Amino acid sequence: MSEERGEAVGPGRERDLGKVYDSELIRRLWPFMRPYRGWIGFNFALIPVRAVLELMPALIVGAALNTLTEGAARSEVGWMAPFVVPRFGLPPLAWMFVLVLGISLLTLCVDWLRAFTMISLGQRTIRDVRSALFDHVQRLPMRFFDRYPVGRLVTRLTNDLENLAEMFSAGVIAMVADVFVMVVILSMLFSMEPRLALAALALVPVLGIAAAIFRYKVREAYREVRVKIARLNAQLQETITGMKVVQLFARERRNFEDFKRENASHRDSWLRSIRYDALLFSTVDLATNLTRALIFWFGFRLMDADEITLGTIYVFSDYMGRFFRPLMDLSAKYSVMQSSMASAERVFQLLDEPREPEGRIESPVAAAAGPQPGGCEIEFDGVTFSYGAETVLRDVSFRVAAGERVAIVGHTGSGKTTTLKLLARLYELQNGSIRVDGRDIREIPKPELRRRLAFVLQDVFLFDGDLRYNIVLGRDVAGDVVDEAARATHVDALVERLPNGWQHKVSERGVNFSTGQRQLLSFARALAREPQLLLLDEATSSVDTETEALIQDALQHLMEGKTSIVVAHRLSTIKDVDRIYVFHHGAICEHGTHDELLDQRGVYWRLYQLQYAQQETAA
Amino acid sequence: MLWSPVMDGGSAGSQKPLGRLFAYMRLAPRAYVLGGILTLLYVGCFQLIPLSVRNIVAALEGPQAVLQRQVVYLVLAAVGLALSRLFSRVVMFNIGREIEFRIRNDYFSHLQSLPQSFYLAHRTGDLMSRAVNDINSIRMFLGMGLLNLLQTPVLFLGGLVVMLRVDASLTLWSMASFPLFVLVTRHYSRYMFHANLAGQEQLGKVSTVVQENASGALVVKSYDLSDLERDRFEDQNQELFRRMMRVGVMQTTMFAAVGLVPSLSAALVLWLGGQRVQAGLLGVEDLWLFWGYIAALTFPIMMLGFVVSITQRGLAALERLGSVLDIVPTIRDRDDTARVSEVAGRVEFRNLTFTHPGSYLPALEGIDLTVEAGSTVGIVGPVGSGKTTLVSLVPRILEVEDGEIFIDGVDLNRMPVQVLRSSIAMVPQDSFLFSVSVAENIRYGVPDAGLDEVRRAAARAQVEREIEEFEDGFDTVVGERGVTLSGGQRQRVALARAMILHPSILILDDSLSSVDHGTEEAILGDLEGRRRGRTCFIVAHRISAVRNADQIVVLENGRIAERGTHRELVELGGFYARLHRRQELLSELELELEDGGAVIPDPARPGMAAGGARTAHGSPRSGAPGTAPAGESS
Repeated sequence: MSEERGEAVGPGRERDLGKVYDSELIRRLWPFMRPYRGWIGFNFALIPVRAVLELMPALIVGAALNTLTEGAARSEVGWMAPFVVPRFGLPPLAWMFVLVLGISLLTLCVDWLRAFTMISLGQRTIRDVRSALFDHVQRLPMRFFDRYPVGRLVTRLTNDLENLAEMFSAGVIAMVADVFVMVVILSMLFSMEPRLALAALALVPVLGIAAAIFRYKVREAYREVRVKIARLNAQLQETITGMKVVQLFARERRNFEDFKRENASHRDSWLRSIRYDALLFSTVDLATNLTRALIFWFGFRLMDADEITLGTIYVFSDYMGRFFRPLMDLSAKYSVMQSSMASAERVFQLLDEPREPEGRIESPVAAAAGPQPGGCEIEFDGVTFSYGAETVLRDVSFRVAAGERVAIVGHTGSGKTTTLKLLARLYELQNGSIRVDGRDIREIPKPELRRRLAFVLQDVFLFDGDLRYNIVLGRDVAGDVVDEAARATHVDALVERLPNGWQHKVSERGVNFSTGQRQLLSFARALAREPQLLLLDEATSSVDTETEALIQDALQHLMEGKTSIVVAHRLSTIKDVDRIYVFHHGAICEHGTHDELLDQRGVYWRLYQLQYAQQETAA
Repeated sequence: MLWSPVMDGGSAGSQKPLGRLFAYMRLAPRAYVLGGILTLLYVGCFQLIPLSVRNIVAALEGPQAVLQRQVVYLVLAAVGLALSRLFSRVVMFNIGREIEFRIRNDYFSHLQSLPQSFYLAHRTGDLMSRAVNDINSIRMFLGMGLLNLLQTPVLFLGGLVVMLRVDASLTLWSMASFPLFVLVTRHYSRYMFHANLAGQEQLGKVSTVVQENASGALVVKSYDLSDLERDRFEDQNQELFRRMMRVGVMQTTMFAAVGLVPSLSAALVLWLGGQRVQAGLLGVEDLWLFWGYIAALTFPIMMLGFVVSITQRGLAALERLGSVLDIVPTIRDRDDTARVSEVAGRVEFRNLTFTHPGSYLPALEGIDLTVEAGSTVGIVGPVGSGKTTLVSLVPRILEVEDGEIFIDGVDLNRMPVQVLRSSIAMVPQDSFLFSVSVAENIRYGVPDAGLDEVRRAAARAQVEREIEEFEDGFDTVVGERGVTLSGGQRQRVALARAMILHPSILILDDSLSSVDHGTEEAILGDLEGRRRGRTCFIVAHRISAVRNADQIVVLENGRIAERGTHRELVELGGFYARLHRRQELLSELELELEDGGAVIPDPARPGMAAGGARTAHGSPRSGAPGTAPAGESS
């Protein structure tokens, strides 16, 4: 059920070749399995034990049959003779019953151990892959998150890995065991009676050809089913998400026709795979029964010549059934292996994504120096930056002294937010340099750099947890720091109104808070970090007047006593800062204090004039 | 013809899961007859195999001719068995797929008929899980489950009759463990189901952490939360490992124990049966008969235990699906639907009060408002004041009581849904686009529209030029599988999707919020030029979007607090006037900043130069779509 969960397998997007085994993928998986190679060894060691146990009961029953038909003299079948001699004064049949029962119990134990070790190996490996994958994802650059859909990422870490786990319980090693048993059976049959063995194997080539054809056909059929169910579920999910649009534009009928067509095509693929499945099942079944007929037919002649006993025929008949049985669940294994391989491929593709560069290892001197109170000094020196083909920043240079407040204003897409992101080193610099307190940010370990700053984003992201968690974000923050942050940002009033106060449950979408309230929460979150540097990307969305007043007041507290760089949308903020940089198409076109800019009679002056004129009209 | 939510039979009305199942099964009676006949054939051949093996063994000591005949019987039985098994499986499983196909169709079409209030109360994830997990459970039940449920008892009873005739007490001894076995597996598989559920639940928690770290990557990185989040994930991952191990161990134990039953039975036959052979009561061949049955019945009987729980799960899934399918779509044509084929566009709200289902506070209260055909009404108000709710009631995507909203004097609930919705174009707030091409998105409401029409609509929404700049132009696929559009681009494509229709009523629900000021001007100017005979609802946060409206209402806490024209409301000095003062200030500032392009033209961006030129020529508030691209000359 794996990738059925609404993941779109669009043409060319996600490769799904329907491979059943890919040694390259197994090779890549090996480092994760290595720590548990003891389990694998143990498992392999159990394969011969299991094979012997599986083949013994038939020999005992064969011996018993001979006892019944020929008398005790010819009771032995194969090399089981020493075992079938009754002991403990039991009659022969009772002894054989005890033997078979004992072997069955042993088989049970061995089977359990095999399955248990396999599952342990699988689950442990998957757990470790999942940890490694999560760790890897966390180290991926922002550029990755900009383009990789969240839903797909979640699928990688959940369903794809669950698929991979299935490979262990129903996969490669089980097949090795099956082949081993088949080989042992063959050698035993030939050692017992080569002529009868040859007769019994008459149908094997036919079955081999059938299995080869099946292998090819079923691979395609299963792949098709998987791709189609994914497409179908993607379509359903999208329709549910966009239901309002569907209904407003009266698309129901047409959508339904589209869906029905896809659904029918999915059904037909299923029907095809069912046909192959049932065909395989019946073919193996038929081969087993026909082989039995062959054994009886030739066995009869040999028995007539007194060369074999009824017990031998029993053993042959039992063994050939066991010989064919692994073919029965071949299709189930196929389907499991196929989807595991497809999942493994996707998982490793994700693991191949290049990580973001680490910051330089923290030198003891730098760590000892620690942050100075009262903000830090920032310097941009000839910074040029582009996302792909689009250049966002061109040769940006400016300097902010410790404790200063600076505003960045400009048109949408003029590179304001990018400036903040580069300073937080969310993206790697391409040209120029950024210095914090004189040190190039590429030389500051990321954790240190980020400990010193608080970034207030336009969109406030709330984590699953309570309100307090969303302010402290998992760190140990003293209670009075939180209280103070809440007071300064008017979050305390919000908390008071909630029935559970700080324990109020918050969810990712944060629908339980208004836009304005969410902004205040993000301010409190930033304050609780006690940063030296505040990076504030003011939200553009408008809020009601009352909340706006609260936000403006909270902003004052927020910027107090630290270096602040604000992408400003509020007039009040702009008037309040020490210096303003006017960005235009990624370059700074004007800068200065509010008064200086007015004196320059440039862009900012025009802006101010217009604003005054507007105020007069309104009045 | 009107679109009816119930397409294929069998989903209307409230039904018990079994009743619902029979309703679906009734649709393919012939397949069942065929399946039944094939199953009987299969059961017959099934019984013949152990019997003919027995006869062969009996004939081994006899003349060759007798043996020859018996071997031929075995071959015939084997061929018959293979064929009947093949076809009965194919037929029975096909029925399962067919029913699955119908259920999924019904689910889809039913979802499309449910009102928005349903979607406010149900998360997409839950609805998807019904489609994926529940339909999976139903499929398992209909395929493996139903086949075994029908076949196994017959196989078992048939075998029992044959064996009883040979030796009653040996039958009892050898078969005694089977029913017990069914009970145990059934019980056990229920535990396994719960363990599995616990595992799935934990998998959900792991998903949540991953999802948060991906959606909140900016926060996680800039607040240096990686280590904390990693610890959080490790805890969840370890718990998942524990739960999955539990499931695995249970499964392991189950399968190992299952293997014991046939061995025990076969050994009992050897011991007790052997004694009877020695006593001359039975032939050796009779032991083969018993072994044959034990071997053949083990798998179906083992499955029966699982099948019981598969059945329970399947029926439970059917019930869960049913709980959605049973919701009678309230928004559909009733018996007293008026015969209306056109809408002129006069909308009247009469003392409208609306409460969202599950909420105790009304979202709208005592709304009295008349919007004359062809006039424009602007709606402003603080967040949560009911603006979106008010306009969502008009196209009937939310349910309203009778006698509260009238269109052209006809009660909204008596308007044919099809006529109503084809006369209204609404641009919802979230500007949702589908993962298809831009052109397909724009022609969403008129699938047959030509590319010319699509282009015109895009041009009017001021997005044509940007689309042309994409590598694949209008064929560019958007959304998760294609390019990511900016918020402003999405809004304008959504706008074009409404523009391509020729509605009597146009509703813009804060649809221009991410569009810059100049573009907004151009779009509104274009609308104004064309709105002859078109009723417009414009919900906005920006005064600029509503100032030219014929009337403006201010909603506060679900009530109309102020109403009048722009001038009247500014003079009134209430919420609107305050908003106006504040916003004029800010938006003019924004406008100036973006028109900075006039000061420093950028040769790389010809579009910007044009935007700047507009300002240079005079007032940006002219309202004329001066920069409307070519193709808009009509």
